[in-house]
Amino acid sequence: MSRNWVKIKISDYARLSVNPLRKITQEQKVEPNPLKRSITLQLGDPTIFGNFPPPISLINALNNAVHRDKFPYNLSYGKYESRKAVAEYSKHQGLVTADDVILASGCSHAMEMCVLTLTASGENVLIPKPCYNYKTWLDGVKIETRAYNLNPEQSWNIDLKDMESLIDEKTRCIIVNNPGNPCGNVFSKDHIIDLLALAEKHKLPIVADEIYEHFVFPGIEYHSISSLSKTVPILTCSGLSKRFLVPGIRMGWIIIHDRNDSLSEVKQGLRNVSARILGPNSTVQYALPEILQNTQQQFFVNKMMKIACNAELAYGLLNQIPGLKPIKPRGSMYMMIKIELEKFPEFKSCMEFTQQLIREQSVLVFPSYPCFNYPGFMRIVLTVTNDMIEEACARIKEFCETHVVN
Amino acid sequence: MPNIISADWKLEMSTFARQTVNPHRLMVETSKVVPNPKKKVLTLQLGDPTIFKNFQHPPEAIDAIKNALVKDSFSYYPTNGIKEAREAVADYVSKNGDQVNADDIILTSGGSSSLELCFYVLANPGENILIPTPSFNYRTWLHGPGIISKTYKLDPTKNWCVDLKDLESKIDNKTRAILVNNVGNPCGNVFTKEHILDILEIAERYRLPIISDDIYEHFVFPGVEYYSVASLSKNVPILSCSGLTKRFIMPGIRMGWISIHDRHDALKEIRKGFTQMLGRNFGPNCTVQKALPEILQNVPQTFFDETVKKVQLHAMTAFKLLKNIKGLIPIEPRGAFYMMIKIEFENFPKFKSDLEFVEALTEEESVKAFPGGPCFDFAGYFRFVLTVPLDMLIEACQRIQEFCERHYMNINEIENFEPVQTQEISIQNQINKIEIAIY
Repeated sequence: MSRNWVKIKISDYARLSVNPLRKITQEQKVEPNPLKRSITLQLGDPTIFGNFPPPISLINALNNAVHRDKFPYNLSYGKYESRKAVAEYSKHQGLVTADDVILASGCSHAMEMCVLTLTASGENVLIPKPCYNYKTWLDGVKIETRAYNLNPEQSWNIDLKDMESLIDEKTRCIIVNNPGNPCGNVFSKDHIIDLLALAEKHKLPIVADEIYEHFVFPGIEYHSISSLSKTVPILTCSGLSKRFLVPGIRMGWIIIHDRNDSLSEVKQGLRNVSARILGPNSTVQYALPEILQNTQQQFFVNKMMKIACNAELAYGLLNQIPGLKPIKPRGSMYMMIKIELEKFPEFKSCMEFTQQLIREQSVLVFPSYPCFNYPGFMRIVLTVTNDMIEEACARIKEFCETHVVN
Repeated sequence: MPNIISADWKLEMSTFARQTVNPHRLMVETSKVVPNPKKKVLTLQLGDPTIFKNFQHPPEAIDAIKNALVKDSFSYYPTNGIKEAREAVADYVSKNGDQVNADDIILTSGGSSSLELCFYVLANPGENILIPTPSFNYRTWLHGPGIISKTYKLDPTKNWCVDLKDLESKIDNKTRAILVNNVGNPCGNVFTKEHILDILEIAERYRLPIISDDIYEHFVFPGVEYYSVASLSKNVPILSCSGLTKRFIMPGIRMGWISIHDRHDALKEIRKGFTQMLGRNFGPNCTVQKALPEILQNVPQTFFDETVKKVQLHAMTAFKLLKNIKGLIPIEPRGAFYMMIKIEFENFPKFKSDLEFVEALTEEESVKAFPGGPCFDFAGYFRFVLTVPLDMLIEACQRIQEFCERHYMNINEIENFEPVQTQEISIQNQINKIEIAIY
């Protein structure tokens, strides 16, 4: 044994677990322009500027719960009354009971539980490209991720031929994010039916990230994937974070949409893995029925109107800027903007482009690579104030006009 | 795994899910043993003091959470936790005798989550972590990803002290850490200062960090001295796991922490490893984080003193009653809220294992306890939880006495007696038995 204490080395799991968004925001070494106030359009946190407060019903429910909660251990997959309330809330997905619900510490945790229950290291799962950083908890356990293309020319629809080409005998499930982050895709009924046909053909269950369920702009129809599935078993993940504007609350869930009893063993597996964290906070569990039942539809309608306005505004302004091409979102709270890099020879990547944007204009956005595993775009968040959208777009325009080469 | 051309949909769970077994939860949630319908069920299983409402959270905690709700914006927070909360935890932890600051603190969703992070940051599949036997079910987090648990013995004849020779013999070149649980579950062990120094000496010699499960820190009976492992470590780096769960009687709140007690900068890479893993974003609820400074600062010492005194009364009462029962040997705890009781199987020829003993106890007397083999990897014992109401505890002991008197046999009086080897039934066999019952 060595005589000195050497640096203790970390496991592969730790080394490979990387969250590129957190890496950028928490370890950002790029200094914004000190002469310009920073405008951040990075993290998908609608609470930052106070313009998207949570519903009063949620605050009231938590206040009531605090008085009555005795803080016991609950069943590791969640208290019965809370699960029952989630089942009722989720009936647009298909009829389920409390028995089909598993509570989790946020939607990320819910997704992680689903994939780890279905897949072993060395096997693979299909994820979209571009997409949210599912890899953060998949790379660590050496589950291979194979990315299928979303098509920016067709409202970010799935390239189903591409998806099919990735499937082999070690593929265990397909992760689908609808409505989506970062693209703001909302798939049509026909498109979802085509996707389900493919899943049925290859007998692959779908893990549906529906944290943005119902987050669609006026005039757009929303369908939960499981509501259209006759034979494909679906694990649908959602939670309070986005719809109720409370990302820090860490309350998510899995709804098990079984078909032909194919998920009975998986259900037990999910209950097993829920024992690692022993469930989310008891007070929020206690408050959950009241939160889900008492929040008025008007709250959600108002919220979507505000985001839709921001989307229109940002799209209109950015569409006029030489060298940029925004792709109009149909829901969620983000927009992807293509950077025509051939017109900006100074920058070799979207990362370089966005870093310089910070330095000159103090506008902070996420580059699509490495953040969403997709080159040549940047993502903005649409939950900042109207003024900030306007000012950010004006500064982006100035920046592009400075650097564009025709 | 299913053939993709098969017409059937039959999805299997992964090995990770199959091996992530919490034997306590499994037992409580899926047991098929039917209690005696003529007797009220007395449950002394789960370590949850709130169940019968005779132990409660401090009122100051409610005030703190209410105050936090007024100001809460429910925003995302830094992945290691809100700064003010980490500062408050650093102050709280530093009182144990080793100075730490906010950067040495990571907030987690409970003690279990803290332990999981420590295991996963240090060990790869195929590598091992040393855990005590008997112990809490650390395997629940280890076996899923294929980390091996190697066990070292605690000695029931010496207040559950660590068998140091056995500990040392278990170390090999794939060992990544030693887990120490002081104050302990299920034994209620409280190690002396000298004993902790002896453990540290071994860790130092082999350059192994210690993961210290400190969830029952300070939970020692009056007259017993408590030392935190980190406070006595000169050279061994310690990762200490604790939280609000037990000491503050709030298991459901899911608020825990890791404090990093580095030595010689050995944990520099480990800190980075934690930061990366925290990017998975499974942290604790934001409101509780905001309330944490007020909780840690305002709950008075009297709350803890009274809790401990009450548990001690329960412990002494149960110990006195069980000591008189022929065929049982209770081991008196010095802290926490559990007691282990040895079953002298030579006097109960009907029962071949602690599981059988405990199941029969449930069927005949409606008393539920956890068997040592499947639940704590220590055959031949069962564990009582001491936080049930005192009258329930007394009644449970009385029923056990009746049960034992009914089944007790003096060895000399048994014709053709052949001593039953106390079967070291492996955990896996026990778990398989329970799993078969479910499926």
